[in-house]
Amino acid sequence: MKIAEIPPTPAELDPFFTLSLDLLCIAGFDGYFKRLNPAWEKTLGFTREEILSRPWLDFVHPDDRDKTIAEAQKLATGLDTVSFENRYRCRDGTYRWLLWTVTPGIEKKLLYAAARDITSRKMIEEALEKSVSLLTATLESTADGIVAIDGDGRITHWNHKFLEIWRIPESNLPKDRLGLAACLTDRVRKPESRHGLEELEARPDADSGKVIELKDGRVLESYSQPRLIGGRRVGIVVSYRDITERMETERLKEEFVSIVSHELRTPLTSLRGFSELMLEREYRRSKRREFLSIIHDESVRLTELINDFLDIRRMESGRQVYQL
Amino acid sequence: MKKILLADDESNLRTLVHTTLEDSEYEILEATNGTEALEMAKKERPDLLVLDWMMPGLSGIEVAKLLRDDPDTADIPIIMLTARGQEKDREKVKALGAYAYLLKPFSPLQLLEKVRDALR
Repeated sequence: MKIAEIPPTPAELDPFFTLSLDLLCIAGFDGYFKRLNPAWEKTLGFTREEILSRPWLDFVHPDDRDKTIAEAQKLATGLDTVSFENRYRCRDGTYRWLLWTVTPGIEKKLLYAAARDITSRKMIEEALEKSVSLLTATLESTADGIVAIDGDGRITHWNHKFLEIWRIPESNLPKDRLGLAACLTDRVRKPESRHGLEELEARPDADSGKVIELKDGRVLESYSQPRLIGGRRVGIVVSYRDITERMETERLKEEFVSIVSHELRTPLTSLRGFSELMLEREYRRSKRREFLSIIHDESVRLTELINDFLDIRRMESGRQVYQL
Repeated sequence: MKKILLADDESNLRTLVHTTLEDSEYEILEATNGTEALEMAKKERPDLLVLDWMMPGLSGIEVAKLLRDDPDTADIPIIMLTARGQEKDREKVKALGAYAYLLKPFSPLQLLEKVRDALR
């Protein structure tokens, strides 16, 4: 049995025209709307009479008029409009983004059009674009190397500092975590040591200040933060900081303190030791003279040392000379 | 008579330690660097070592380690003299199993006390 589709009568179509959430209309080649469904009133806030009384171009955002006129001219030649966007003014002065599909009726000089209000989608897109531009600028403005990996192990974001710190040519950057992990393993001093890109499951929620030693002698510090959506881990962001210079400064400072400490404590030991012995015990005159001359020599040496250290400090700070 | 080996590269400090200990019944041997201290310790088998940490060549720590590794000298008690007073330095000496650790400038009488305790 063959089922033939029965075409709807115009009267049957009328409820659809009224109920549609999209903005439906028939417009003339003369620049005026001829018929509008109620969605127009709901969307723009004007009455249908108000919209019908003025050329439709009056409602189009001034910045969109040129492209709208061009689109209308295309329609007049018989071509359809499939996906055209422009902004229409509302009664309150704001604009709504409309997405159009239009087909022309050349003989009757009419346009049959359906428009969808895509304002909220446009706003989300705009917010998203802002977020992306903020993210991109943030990534590139930081002094740290940053890489982001999603839940499937794909590398989704990275900055140039990351490539620079790890000495990876941009063209050689692997696409996934495993490839990148192998690449980093090549560069760490011991192959078994961590590089910050271990299995997502194997790591704590956040990681901070782990030290990574590289083959070339540099030292990095890594931080990581899981990417969460509704509490679910969907990836990870890892950042790396070159702390080679800081470590070297710390080492030199420690060495300096150690040397200063040794150099100062050695003569002090003689001062304290011999004076204590003379206070506690009786010594012959010749012994006492020997000890006193050691005490004297060592106190002179101590003074010279202190002056030398002050000179170093002065050179470092560039401050004024002062006498001890 | 108990034999004490004293190793320090500073002659004044050797004089000080020597003077501190000479009133008592000790035979005192002196070494002026780590290498000499190691040789003398192996040859003379002293009853006690008074070792300076920072010496040119072999440091006191290295000498102590080498003596610990040799069963013949492993049991000789060591008193370490040092100008390094930081926490991790103290840990290092402790890990070595030294008998005592004196931070410069130390009191000679306190040193004498430690020496007596070690030899008792």
